[in-house]
Amino acid sequence: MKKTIFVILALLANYAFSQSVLFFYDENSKVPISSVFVKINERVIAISDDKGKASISNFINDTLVISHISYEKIKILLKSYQNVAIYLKPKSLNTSPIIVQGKKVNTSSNYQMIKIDETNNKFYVTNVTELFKHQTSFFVKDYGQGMSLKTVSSRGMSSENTIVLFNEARINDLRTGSFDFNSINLNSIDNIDIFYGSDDYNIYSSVGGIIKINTGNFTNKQKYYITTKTTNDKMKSISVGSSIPIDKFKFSFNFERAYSPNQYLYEFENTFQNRKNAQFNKTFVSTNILYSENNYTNKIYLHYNYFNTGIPGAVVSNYDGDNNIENITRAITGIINNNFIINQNLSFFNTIAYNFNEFTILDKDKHLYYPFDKRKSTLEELQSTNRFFIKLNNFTFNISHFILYSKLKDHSNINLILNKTPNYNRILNKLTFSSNYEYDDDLIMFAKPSINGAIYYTYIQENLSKRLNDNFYSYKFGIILPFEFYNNLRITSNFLRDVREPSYSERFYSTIDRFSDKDLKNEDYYSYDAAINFKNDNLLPFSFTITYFNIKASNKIVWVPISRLPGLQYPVNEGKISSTGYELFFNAKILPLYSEISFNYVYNKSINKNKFSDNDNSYNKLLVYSPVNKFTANYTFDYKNVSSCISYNFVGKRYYTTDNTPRNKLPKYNLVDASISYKFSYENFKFVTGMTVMNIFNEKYFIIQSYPMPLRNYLIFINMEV
Amino acid sequence: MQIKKLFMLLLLVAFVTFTGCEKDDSSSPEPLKLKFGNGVLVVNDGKWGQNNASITFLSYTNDSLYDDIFYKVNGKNLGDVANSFTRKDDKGFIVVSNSHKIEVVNLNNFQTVSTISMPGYNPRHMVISDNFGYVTSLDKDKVVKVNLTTYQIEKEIAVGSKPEGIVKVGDYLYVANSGYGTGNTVTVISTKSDAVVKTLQVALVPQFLAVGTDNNVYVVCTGDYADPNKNSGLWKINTSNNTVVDSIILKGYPTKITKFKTNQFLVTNSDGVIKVDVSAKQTSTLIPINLVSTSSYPMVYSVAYDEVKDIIYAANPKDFKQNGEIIKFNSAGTKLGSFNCGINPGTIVILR
Repeated sequence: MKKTIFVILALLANYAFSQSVLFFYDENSKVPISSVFVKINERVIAISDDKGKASISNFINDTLVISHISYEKIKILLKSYQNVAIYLKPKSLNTSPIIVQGKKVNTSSNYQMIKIDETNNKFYVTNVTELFKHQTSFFVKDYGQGMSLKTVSSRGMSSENTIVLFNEARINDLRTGSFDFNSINLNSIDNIDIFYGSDDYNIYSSVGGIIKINTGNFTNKQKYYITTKTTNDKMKSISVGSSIPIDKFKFSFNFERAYSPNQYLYEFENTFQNRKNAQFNKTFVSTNILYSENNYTNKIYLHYNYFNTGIPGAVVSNYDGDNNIENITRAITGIINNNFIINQNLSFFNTIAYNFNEFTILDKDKHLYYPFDKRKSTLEELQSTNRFFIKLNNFTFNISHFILYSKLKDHSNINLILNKTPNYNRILNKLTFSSNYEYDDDLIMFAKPSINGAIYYTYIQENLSKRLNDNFYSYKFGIILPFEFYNNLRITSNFLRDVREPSYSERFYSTIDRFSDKDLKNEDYYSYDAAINFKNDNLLPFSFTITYFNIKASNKIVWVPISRLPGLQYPVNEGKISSTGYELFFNAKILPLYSEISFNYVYNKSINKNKFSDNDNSYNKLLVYSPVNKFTANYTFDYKNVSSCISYNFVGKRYYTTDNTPRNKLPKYNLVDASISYKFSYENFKFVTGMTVMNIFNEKYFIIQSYPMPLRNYLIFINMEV
Repeated sequence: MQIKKLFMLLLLVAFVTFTGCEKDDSSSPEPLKLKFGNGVLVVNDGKWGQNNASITFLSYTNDSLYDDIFYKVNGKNLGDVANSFTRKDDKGFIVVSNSHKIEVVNLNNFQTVSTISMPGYNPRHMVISDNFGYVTSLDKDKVVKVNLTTYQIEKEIAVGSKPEGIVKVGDYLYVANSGYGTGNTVTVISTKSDAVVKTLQVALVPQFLAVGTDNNVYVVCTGDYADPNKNSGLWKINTSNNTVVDSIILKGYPTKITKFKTNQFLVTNSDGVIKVDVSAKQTSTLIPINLVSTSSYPMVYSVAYDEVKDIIYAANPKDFKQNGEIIKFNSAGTKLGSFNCGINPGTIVILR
């Protein structure tokens, strides 16, 4: 059996009938360049591997566009099948599209990048989390379409276990203490890096993975665009923006104004209702400024976000009169990234960020916050990250320090019952030392295997109801074993001892009720994963990754409704959790058919291992809202001026009570979404127009109990660019 | 084309596999034919916002336990947060607060007789006076008078903020104004005039009340949520002249109350179930909390006393997110046994 697999892999690897192999090198350093895109008519037909190699076929006499984020774009014409060495010229200083954030030694078991561009999602969706739903193995908890609360989580963990970095900074929302995906807009995003499990390149460790959202969208030529979107539920969105290069500077600007009544039909107890008070309106303005020199780049990012949304609440009756509550968020975020390349072996990166978040609740009926009808809270965060990357022979080192000062004045929470408005201050320090060693020769059956490790030290000073100082270590180590016979096949394995400190909201709520745990402890994790990654860059480019993971958690913070007052919950240290499973990713480009398919499947059993008494029926049961099976498949077709995509999403049954009784279960659901777009030009204007149909088969489904999701709905868009 | 066919086949296989690989174990209600007699009726709140309130019944007639009987008899969910239960003859009134309704059921077979829709009222507790129900409305700060023949709202009487518990003695109603943690009054309403006759000041957060064997009203004041040392306990209202005449201090967030022996009450607090002798003004822990719950945040969620069988029923909500249990004690506080119930058993009623 092993021999058979080996032979098949070898055949695939060497299958090169009627093909050309392109080798890409840096014009100056002669170093092979990976991630070079080879395109025809804006369609990517190949991407270079770590050795700078990209194989193509059936494209004789076609003009190929060669592009890379750090090199000048060129066009070539292949006259015959041949092997070609192509030397790319580094982009001049004023055209570098984004800041290169240091030498990336990706050691996570599975890494994924979502590029936000015209052919990839920019127009087809209205929210970043929809990309996670379609393209990743993350589980998206959605409390209703539009701008309602959305969180992402992976491997059976909670959303707090997934760290989101926005331009390398941690930008938190004061209600949840974590990143709010509604606070950004798609047009301002360049790409999203996703690290499943731990990765020693990052300052942080987290069992639920790390998501890095990078803005930019810089171009080499002046560009102005306007995009309008509308949906069948009367959502209207208009975006305008520009990208302007001037000498060593590049500017980009994005503005979006969106409004929707977000009313949609749902079924409640065999009758169809119209969801109300889910409306939103949003204004978003952002600007990016990039300055580049030989060994220095600087990016300044600034955004203002105004966001007003109704709170439709849980659908538990035909009565919707409670739903007169509105949330208003105003946020200003500024981030400065500095990147110094001191020499070939030493570079320094610095990030400074300021985040101001004002959150107002309008509760004119005084239902939630009696006796008040309006409450305002503010969060201010100031942070700095300093990182050194050092290369020493076969070693690379990363030494980092992160400091975050947070000041929360919260008037919105249930502490109103206590008639108190406490302030909360926190200073969070994280010191990271990580190292990667790559053996420079073959070892046994592996080519240049490497080992890596990291130590994270955290020191926290908090001041809420009492002063609290805490410090703790976490660490990881891992190995990467590329096979000698085919180094596109590799094994990656990581062990992580992780600690998660309580978020703002967890710490805040923990102090306010008689039953809440006023000395909320950190969560403890032991995580292990192992992955097999395989990539084929030849005629039929495809890649797959299969990952096994096992996470054990203790002191897991859970929210319990321990008061009879309506809807109140408090965080307590309770859980012991065991989460095991598999993630399978597959992606293939079927170049002759102008198609690409991808799917990912997650099998995950997240089990409660805490038993507080003999009659505790939650022991050994699935965690609430934790599906065992999740499957996503995408098929894209991209030919000349037409792009289309069909996406299938399956999520298995989930329980919303800890004892997993069938009566308290949300059934599995299947969703099929499809989109199509058409590009055309008129004089100097380029247009893209198209539509997306979501939930084509009208599935009635809930992701969260009592928060119905919409039936079939449509999005139509048109984009004009000059 | 081969690859395209292969891909379509793959998609089809994936679709069939993943849509079929999980059994959908939803069960439609089984028809339940049951003659209800004497027994213990447990009204389970359910978890807020999850529409999973339920009713459990322990029959004294055949010593059988029936779970989720409203759903099984009527084929529909009871609703969200079944907050209280009131009986009039063979009819039961289940006040489902977050569903803004009162379900009227025939206690002989538990079939729905009527649903009193109260949109925007958030009804919490109900008391019967002749052929009328008086219902506290949390969201409207009112007591609502409902005609129990027509099941229509007849009148609304403004009371204090966030009214919860309500009891009747003679021609007066006594309404606990919780104020969502800020209230400290009891409103007295005359059933003759349906008008407020007096507002009495008690301690912080009055929520539940009971009528003693002396025919006076005893109000449980839970006290400051943040400070268990502030005044909390039992406040006595003399119903002959509607004045607050006495108080007994109880710490540890006293909440639920039920009548026990002569001049005695059982009150739940963080220590468990407290026996309060209102004539001797003595208190003692009758049932320690660890005999009811050993969770990290133990609570006696509700309590009832069957004076005929001399059994105390105390509710254990476990982690508040799974089905709970009712634990039986004798009147000396000795554990006798237990039976399972639904999520968050907030009300226990002895039916005879």
